[in-house]
Amino acid sequence: MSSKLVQGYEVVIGFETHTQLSTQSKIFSRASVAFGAEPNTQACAVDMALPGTLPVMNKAAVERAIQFGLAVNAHVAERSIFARKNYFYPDLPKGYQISQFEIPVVQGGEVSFYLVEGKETVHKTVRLVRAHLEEDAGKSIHEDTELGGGGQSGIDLNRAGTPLLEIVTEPDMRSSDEAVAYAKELHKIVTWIGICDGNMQEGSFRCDANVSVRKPGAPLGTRREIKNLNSFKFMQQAIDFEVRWQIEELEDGRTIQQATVLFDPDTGETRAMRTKEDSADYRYFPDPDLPPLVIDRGWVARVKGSMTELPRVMAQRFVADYALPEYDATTLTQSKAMAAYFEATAKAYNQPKLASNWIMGEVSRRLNASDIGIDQAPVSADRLAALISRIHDGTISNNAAKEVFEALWTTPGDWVAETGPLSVVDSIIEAKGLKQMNDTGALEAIIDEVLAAHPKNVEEFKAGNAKALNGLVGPIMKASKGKANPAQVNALLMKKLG
Amino acid sequence: MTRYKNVRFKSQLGLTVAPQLKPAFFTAHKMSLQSQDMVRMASLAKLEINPQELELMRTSINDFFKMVQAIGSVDTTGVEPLAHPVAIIQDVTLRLRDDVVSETNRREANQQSAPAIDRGLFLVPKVVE
Amino acid sequence: MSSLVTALSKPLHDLTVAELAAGLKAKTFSATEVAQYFVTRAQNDMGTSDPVQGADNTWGTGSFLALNPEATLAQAQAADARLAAGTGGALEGVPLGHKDIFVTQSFPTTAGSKMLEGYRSPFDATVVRQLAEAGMVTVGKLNCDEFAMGSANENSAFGPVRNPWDMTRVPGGSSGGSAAAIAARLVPAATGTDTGGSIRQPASFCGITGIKPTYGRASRYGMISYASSLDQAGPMARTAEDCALLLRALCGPDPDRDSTSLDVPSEDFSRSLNDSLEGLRIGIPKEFFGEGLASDVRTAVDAALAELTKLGAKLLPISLPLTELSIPVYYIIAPAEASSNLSRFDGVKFGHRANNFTDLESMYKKSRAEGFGQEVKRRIMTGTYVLSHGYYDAYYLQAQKIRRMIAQDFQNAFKVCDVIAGPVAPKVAWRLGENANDPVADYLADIFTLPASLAGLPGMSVPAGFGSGQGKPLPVGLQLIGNYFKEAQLLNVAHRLQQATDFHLFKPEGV
Repeated sequence: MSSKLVQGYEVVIGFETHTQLSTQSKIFSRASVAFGAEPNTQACAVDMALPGTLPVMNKAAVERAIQFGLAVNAHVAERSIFARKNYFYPDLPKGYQISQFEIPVVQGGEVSFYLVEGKETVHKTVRLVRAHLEEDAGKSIHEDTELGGGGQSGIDLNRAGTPLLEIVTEPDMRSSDEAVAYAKELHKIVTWIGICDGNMQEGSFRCDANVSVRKPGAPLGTRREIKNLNSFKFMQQAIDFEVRWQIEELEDGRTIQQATVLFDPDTGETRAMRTKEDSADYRYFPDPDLPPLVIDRGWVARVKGSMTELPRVMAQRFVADYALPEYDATTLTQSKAMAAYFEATAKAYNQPKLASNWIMGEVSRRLNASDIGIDQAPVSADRLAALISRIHDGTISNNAAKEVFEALWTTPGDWVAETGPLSVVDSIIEAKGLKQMNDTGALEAIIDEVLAAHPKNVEEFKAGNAKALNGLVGPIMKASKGKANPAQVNALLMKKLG
Repeated sequence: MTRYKNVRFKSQLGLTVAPQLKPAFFTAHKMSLQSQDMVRMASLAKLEINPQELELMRTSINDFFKMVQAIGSVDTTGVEPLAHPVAIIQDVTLRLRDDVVSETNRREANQQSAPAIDRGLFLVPKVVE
Repeated sequence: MSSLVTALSKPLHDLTVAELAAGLKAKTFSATEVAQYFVTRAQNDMGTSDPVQGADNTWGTGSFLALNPEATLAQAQAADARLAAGTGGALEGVPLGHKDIFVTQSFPTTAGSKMLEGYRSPFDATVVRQLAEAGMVTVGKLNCDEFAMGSANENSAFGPVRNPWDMTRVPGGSSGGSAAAIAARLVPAATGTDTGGSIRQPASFCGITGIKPTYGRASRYGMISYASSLDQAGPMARTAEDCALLLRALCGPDPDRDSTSLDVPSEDFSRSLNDSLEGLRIGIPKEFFGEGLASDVRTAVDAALAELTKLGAKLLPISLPLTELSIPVYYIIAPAEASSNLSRFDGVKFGHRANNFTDLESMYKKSRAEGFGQEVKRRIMTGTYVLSHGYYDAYYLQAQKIRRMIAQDFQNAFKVCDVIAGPVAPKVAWRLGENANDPVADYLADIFTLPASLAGLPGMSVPAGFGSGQGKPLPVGLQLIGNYFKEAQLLNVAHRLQQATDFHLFKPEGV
C-alpha cells in the first residue's frame, strides 16, 4: 500500500456522492423525474411545498437503496428514520430537506478496485460509512441576465424531490488517482445494478470531495469540501489544485479554514464559496410527517435473489472459470456490456486470454477514440472470436490480424456474412493476402537464401551474439512478404544455426 | 414501563403534584437567552427583528423557559421518544407507494399565488455563490 | 325568506345539522334557499351587505374571513340536483364553514395570517373534499389564530373574534371563528383543528360541541401544518349527534397523501349514541381539580358529572401525574415542529414578499418579519432554539420522551376506567386583551387539553353549564377523553348528557 506524499504531506480524501435514483416518480411525490422538461412543469404541489402538502414515500427508491446496500456488502437497516435538515435557500422549497441523519437506511459497506501506481497494480478498498435516502433540491439559474429585467436568479423546481442516495466514505483515499478510481468504481456499481443512469452531464452522479493534508503521523488537517464535481477529469484537476493550494497555505504559515469550495473548470482552480453564517446548524430532527421506514429481512432476501451478478462476483468467476488474471477480470467487468461481450467471444472460441487481450487492447482503444460504448462496436463478439481462432490456429500472424481487425472495424458492411463470421474473416484474409506461410519447405528455402546473403550475422550469432538474429529475421519476413509465421522462422533458424 | 421521579411544579395555577423534589437526575440547560442568542436565532429563522423588539421578545422567551425548566428533573432513562402518538399502542411504520407518475403539468395553477415569475421560473434576487 | 322562517317551528339557523339534513331530504326547503340564508347571515356578521328584512340582527363576531356567494350557491344548486335525483349524500345540502387553516380552491386561504393574504390553493384539503362528497355546502372560511397558534383567537392578523355570549370576551382559540360562528348561528357546523385544545377550548367557551378524533384518523393533507405530530381536524357543531355525522364524513385513511394517517376506516359514529351509560366507569383526574380551577367552572363540571352518575355512570378517582408537565412538553414540541413547518413561507413561491429589500437575505428576513405576527415569531424563535445544536437533547428529545410517559399514564388510567372526564379550561372566557403582555398565561390555561393532545387521544367538549362572567352567563364545557379510536363512546356519553340537559340548546342573547 503506497501513500503518495506531496511535498512531504499526506493527502486525505473522503467522498460524498449524490446519485439520482432511476425511478419514474419523485421520492415523496408523484411528479415525473424525467430530465429536460420546461421549468416547473414537473413540480407538483408537494414539490413546491404549497401549504398543506405532505410527503409520501416511493417504494422504488427504497428498493434501490437496498440493492446498493447489497452490492457493497453493507448492512441494510431494519428501521431507519427520515430527518429534516433545516436551512433557507431558494431551490429548497420547504426550507428544509428531507434526508436521513442519525439512522440511515444503509450502514457500512466497502468499494474495492485496482489502481495502477507506477509499474504496480494495487488493490484498494475504500470503506463506506453509510448511504442514505434524501430528496434533491431544485435548480437555480443565475446566468441569464435578461431574467425578470436583470439582477434576478430563476428557480426551477422540476428537480426538487428527485430521489437521491447519498453515499459517504471514510477518509480512506490518499491521492487524487485513488479518489478518481474510487469514483469510477462507484459509478460502475450504481450503473451496473441499474439504480442510477450515471449520466454525469445531467447531474445524475455528483461528487463532493473532502480534502485535507497533514504531515505523516500528525492528526487530521482541516478539510475543505469541493462541491458538485460532475466529471472524472474535473475531479482529478480540482483535487490536485486544492492539495497544492492547501500545502502552499500551510507552508506560508497560514491555517486552513473549513470551507465549501467550488471548482472552476475554466481556470482550473478551487475557490471558497461565500460563507453562509450559521450554515452548520441544520437543527436536524426526525420528520414528524414520516413514520420510521421498516425493511424486513424477507424484502432484503427477495431483492438479493433478483439482483444480477455483481461485478466483483463476476470478476471472481472469470478468474476461476477462464483462468484470467485478476486485473483482466476486473477490467472486463467494467460494465455489463463489456463483460457480456467478453463471455460471448470466449464461448464462441475458447481462448479467453486472447479474447481478453484483444478486448482490453484493440477494442478498448478504438472505443475510447470514437467515444462510443461497446454495445456500439462495429465488430461483434462472433467476428472477434473468428479472428482469434485464425490467430490461434496459425493461419495469420498477430500483425496480420490487426489488419483484418481494421477492416472488420472500419468497413464492417463490406463483408457479407451469409455463411457466418468465420467466412467473413477468411474472405478478408484472402482478399488482403494475409495468409501466413506455413509451408516449411518454401520457408526453408527463403531462410537459406537469407542466411547466404548475410554471412556476417551468421558469424556473429554463432560467436554468441544472440541479437544478431534480428538482422536475419527482418529480411526473412520481407522475403516472405510478411507471411512467414514468426514462431516457425525462429524455430527453423535455431535448427539451422544450432 | 416508565420510571420517573415525581416532580413538584408550582405553577401559577397553584396546582401541585407531589411534595418531594428529588435532585435533578438530568439537568436541563440553565436556559437564559442572551442578546446574541436572540440575534443568532433570528438569523437562523430568517426574521428581521429590530433590537428593541428583540429585547422584549427575549424577556418573554426567558419567562417561557423558566416555565420549561421543569422537564429537566424528569428521569427519562430508558424511555424512547414518542413521535407518532398512536405508536404507543401499535407500531406505526412508513407506508410505501408504487412508483407511478400521476401528477400532470399544473404549472399555472400552482404558480397562481407566486410573487414573481418569468418564463415559468420563480424569480429571486440574484444569488452569488 | 321570512315566509320560510314562519313556516318552520323555529328559524332555519336554530336547526341542527341532523334537522337540516332531514328537512332537505324531505324537501321542506332547498339547499339553495338554505345556502342563501346562511350566506346572508354571514354577510351581516361581516358587515358587508344589507341586513335581511326582519329577524336578523347585525353581529360583528369577526368569525368569517372570506365568502364567495357565487361558489356557495353553485355548490347548493348541485346539491339540489342530487337531492332531486335521490343521489344525495348523508349531509347533502347542509351548510358549514371551514376553519381558514384548510386550503380550498373556491375560497382564499389565509391561516389567519398576513403571510397568506390573498393566497389561492390549487387543491382542496382532503377533509374539505370528503365533506363536500357527503354533500355539504361551504358558506365561507372562518377566522382563527394565526397558523393555529393561540388560545383566544386574538392572534389573527385579520382582527380578533368576539365571543357571541359576551362580545367583550374571547371565544377561545385557535378555532375561535368556527366556535363563534356556530354559537352565533351563522352556520350550523364547522371544521376546526385541535393541536393543543383548539377545538375543545373554543367549543367550551362558546357553549357548543366539538370533538378531536384520535391522531391519524382524519387526513392532514391540505390542513396547513402547525405541529405535525399533534394537529388533527375535527367537527364542531351544537350537538354530539351533529358531530357524529360530520366525523363520519371527515375521518378515514388518506394513504396516497398523508403518511401519518392511519389505516383505520371511518365509522358510523352515530351507532351507539343512545347506548345506556349503566356501569360506565368515568375516571376523574385529581390533577384536573386542583386549586387553580375556578369555582364556577368546577360547579358546572361537577353538576354535569352528577348528571352522568344519574344515567348510571360511576365516577372513580384517577391520577395523571404528569399533567402540569404537559405544558412545557407541548410548548417545546409544538413550536419546534412549527418553526420548521413555517420555513416554507419565504416569499419565493407564494405568500407575502416584502416590497423593499436589498438582496436574497433581506428579502427572506423582511418578508417573514412582515408576514408573521408576534406570537408566531415568538414560537418560531423558541422552536428554533430548542432544536438548535446543543439544546436538542435537553429540550426536544427530552420532551418527546416525557410525551411517551404522559401517553403511558393514560394507558394505565384506561385500565381502570372507560372514559376520563374533567374541565376543558381552568376558567371561563377572559376579556379581549387581558393576556396581551403575558403569552405564558395563555399557555398555562391549556393545561387540561394538552395531555390528550400529546397522547393523541380523542377528546370532546360538551356544553355543561354556565359560569359567571360578571353578569353575563359564560359557557363551561365538560371535557371527555377516550382511549384510542373510542370516538363513538365519547359521542355516546355526550349525547346522553345532552338528552338529560339543555345547555347545548341555549344561545346568546339576541341570536
